[in-house]
Amino acid sequence: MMTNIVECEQTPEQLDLDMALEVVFQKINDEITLPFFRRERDKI
Amino acid sequence: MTGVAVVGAAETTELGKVPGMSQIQLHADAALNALQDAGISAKDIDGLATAGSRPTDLAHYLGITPTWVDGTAVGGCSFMLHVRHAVAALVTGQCTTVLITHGESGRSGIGRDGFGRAPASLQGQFEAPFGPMGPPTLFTLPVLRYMKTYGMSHEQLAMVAVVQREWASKNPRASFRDLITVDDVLESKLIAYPFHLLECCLVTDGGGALILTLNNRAKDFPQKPVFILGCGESVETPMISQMEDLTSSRAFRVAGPAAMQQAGVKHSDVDHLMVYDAFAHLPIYGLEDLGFCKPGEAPDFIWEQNTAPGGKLPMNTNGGGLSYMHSGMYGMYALQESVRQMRGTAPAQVSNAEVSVCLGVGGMFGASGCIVFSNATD
Repeated sequence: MMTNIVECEQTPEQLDLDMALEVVFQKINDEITLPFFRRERDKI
Repeated sequence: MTGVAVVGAAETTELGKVPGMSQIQLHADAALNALQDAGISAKDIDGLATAGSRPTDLAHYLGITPTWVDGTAVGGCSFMLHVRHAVAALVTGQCTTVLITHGESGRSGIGRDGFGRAPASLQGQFEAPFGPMGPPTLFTLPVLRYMKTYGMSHEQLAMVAVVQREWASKNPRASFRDLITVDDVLESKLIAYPFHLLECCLVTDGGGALILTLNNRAKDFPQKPVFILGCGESVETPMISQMEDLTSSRAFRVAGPAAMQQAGVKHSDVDHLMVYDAFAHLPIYGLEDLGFCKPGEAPDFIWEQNTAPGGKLPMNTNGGGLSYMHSGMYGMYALQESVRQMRGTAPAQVSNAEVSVCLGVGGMFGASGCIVFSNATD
């Protein structure tokens, strides 16, 4: 799925393909909440 | 043989920056040049296909009363699909003489419809909210996966642009003709990782048109006919994130082999290849999905100069979308170069070329059309 990796420096070095992620939901407005992903916490 | 031949082919009188012409004027300029090339006039046309503008607009503007119309619009390869659909229409007698036009004010933006995506479309709902900025960012997704899977280096990706500039240097109509090195590519501005400026297509104004008729009428036209041996088409998904395999295009894998099978040609029969190159990785996918290289081997194949001037499989011999021109829907220019090569009139002519394969992409690996051409009568 298309999404964004958040809570991560937006560089090729930090955005590692196949790294383990966990979902975070961000409320955009009263009707729309989007799923984003951050590096899995126990892997940090 | 499909039984259909190209008897007229031309691009707009000018390519590049053409701020004095609107999109429909570019269509018309290309159409008039192709009609002149075929020695006929608009009143002789009874089949009309176009993308980017409506066939209705072109029929009105050019004074054509068609009995067959095709407005298939699946992106830059739409013109390959038009060719295939025109073959079906001609052999079943729905019309006798087909005009396919393309005109696009991609750089100057004069009278252009644009690429807007409706918010309710699949891409609008499921990709646009996450911020992709059109093709340069969307096309990074498959190429990064390809690089990881097969270990393709930045230098290998850059070589695609270097080789195509070699071809462009031989073409007086190419937008960029100065030779470049791998270092030049990697030192050009980073647009969207891993793409540098010289790995992205141009944005220019221009157009092109083709005229098709049955083989048995082709001898009545002034130009050497270019026979359509086979055609294929397919679509996959409007969302690049939903590709079945990010390292390969399903639409390429359907359209390419279908065209080559209908044509009855083997890979070793192919003298000339066009693969729509909106970005530097597309020729790599095309070479592999058509079966000229095994998965993961096309970067080495290009690095070893096999597709360069003097190589065993000359590819994108006009300089391609990276160096020749790219109005937005480049497929027409790839078809034009295949026709020139089969006529023997290309600026960088491949000597004794008899079979040309032309593979187009639409959207971001969303669609594909493939045409196999030949100048041989047997």
